[in-house]
Amino acid sequence: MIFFVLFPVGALVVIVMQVFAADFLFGGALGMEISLLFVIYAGFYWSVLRGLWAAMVFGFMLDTLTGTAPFFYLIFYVLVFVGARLASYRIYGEAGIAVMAATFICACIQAFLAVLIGVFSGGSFLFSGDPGLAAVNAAFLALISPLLFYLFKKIEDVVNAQPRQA
Amino acid sequence: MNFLNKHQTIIFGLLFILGLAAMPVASLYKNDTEETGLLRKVVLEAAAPLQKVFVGTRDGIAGAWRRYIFLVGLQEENRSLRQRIALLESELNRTREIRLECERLQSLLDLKDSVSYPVVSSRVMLRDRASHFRSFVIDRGSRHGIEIGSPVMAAEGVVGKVMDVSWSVSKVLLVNDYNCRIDALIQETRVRGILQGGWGTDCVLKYVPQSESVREGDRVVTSGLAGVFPKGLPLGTVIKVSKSPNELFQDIRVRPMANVDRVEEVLVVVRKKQKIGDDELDREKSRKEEK
Repeated sequence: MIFFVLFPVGALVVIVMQVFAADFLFGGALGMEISLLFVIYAGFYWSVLRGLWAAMVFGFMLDTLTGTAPFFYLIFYVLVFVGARLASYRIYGEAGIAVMAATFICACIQAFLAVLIGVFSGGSFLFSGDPGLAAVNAAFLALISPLLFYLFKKIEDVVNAQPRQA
Repeated sequence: MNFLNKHQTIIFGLLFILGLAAMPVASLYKNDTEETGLLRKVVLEAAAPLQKVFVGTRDGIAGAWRRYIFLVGLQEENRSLRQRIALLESELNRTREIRLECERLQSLLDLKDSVSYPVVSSRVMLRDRASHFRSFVIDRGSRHGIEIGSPVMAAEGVVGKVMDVSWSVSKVLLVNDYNCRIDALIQETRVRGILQGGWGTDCVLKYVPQSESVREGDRVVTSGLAGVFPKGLPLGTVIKVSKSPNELFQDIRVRPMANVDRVEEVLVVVRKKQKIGDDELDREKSRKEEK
C-alpha cells in the first residue's frame, strides 16, 4: 500500500529531474526520458497492478508538466507497459540487446504516434519536434538503457532490502 | 483469477489494441476553455518547489563551473593571480548576466508600457526542449489573475497561450506546438489565416487561398478576431511560400518572432481586465445569461 502512496512523489522527482538534467547536460539537444525506461522495466519485472500504476502515474505527470496533447503520455505509457509485459513472456529481460531494442522501438513509436496525433488533430502532417532529433533521442535512450536497468535493479534491491533472485 | 492467468496474453493484447485506438480519440478531446482539473493543479503545484530547487542547483553548478572549475590544475605560483582573474571574471560574468537580465527585463518593461491591457510578468521554470510537444511551466497562476487561454508574450512577440492553470504556476502552450492555433493575418495585406505550430521551431499559416498575395518577409500578427489574443501582436515572419495548382490553399511557413525555446521571462496578458473589445465582453455576458 505504501508503494502506491509514495510512488507518485518519487515519480514527480524523477520527471522534474530528467527534464532539468537533459536541459543542463545537453541544452535541449537530447532528451533523457528515464520515465519511459522505468515503464519498460516495470513491464519486464513488476506485477501488473504495480506496473500499471507506475505507467499511469508517470504518464499523467508528464502530460501535466510537459505534454500538450490530452492523455498522450498516459495512454502511451500504459501501452508501453502492456507491450513490455507481452514481450517479457518471450524475451529474456536481462539481455542488454533486448532492453536496447525494446527502448529504441518504444521511443520511435512515441515519436511516430506524436506525428499521428498531429495528423488527427491538425488534419495535416505536422510535428512540433524534429524527426531527426527524435531518432537520435531514441538511439541515445537505447544506448543508456542497460545501464539504467541495472541501476533500477540495484535501487529496487536496496528498497526491498533483500537480494534479487536470479 | 485462473481465467486471467490462463488468457493473460489475449487480455494484454486486447488492452494494447484498445489503448492504441484510444489515443487518436483522446487527441480529439480538447477544450480550450475547460478548467484545469484538481489533480493536474496538485501536480503542477507539487512540482513548483522541486523546480525551484533544480533551477537553483543548476544555476549554482553553472556558476561554480564558470568561477572555479577551470582553475583546477594550475601551477602553484600562478594560483593567486589566477584566483584574482577568476574572481574578476566571475564578477564580470555576474555583471554580464545582470546586464543581460536588465536588458531583457527592460525590453519587457517597454512592452508592458506599450500594451494597453494588464499584464503579469513571470519566469520560465520547467521546459523540456527535447520533447515532442512544445510547452513550458511559468511561476504565476490563477492567484495572479492568469486564466486558461491567457496570451503569453515576450518582448519580440507572442510566445503562446496558457493551457493549464494552477494556483501559483501555469503551463504555456507554445506558438510552435501543433496543438496551438491562433487567428492571424498578414500585416501588410490583411490576408487572414490560422497560424499553427509544426515543423520543428517554425509554424504554418493555414487556409490562405492561392489567389492571395503573400511574400517572404511579410509580418504575421494576431487578428484579434477569435477573442483570445488582442489585435496586432507580432507573431512571426513569413520565411517560405509555396503555391501548388492542385491545392486550395498556399503552404506558408512562418518563423515565430520570439525565440520560444530560449525565452526566460514572459508577460501574461490578464484577460479579465483586458480590453479585447466591448463586443467580446458583450458576447461573454450574453453567453453567461443564456446559461
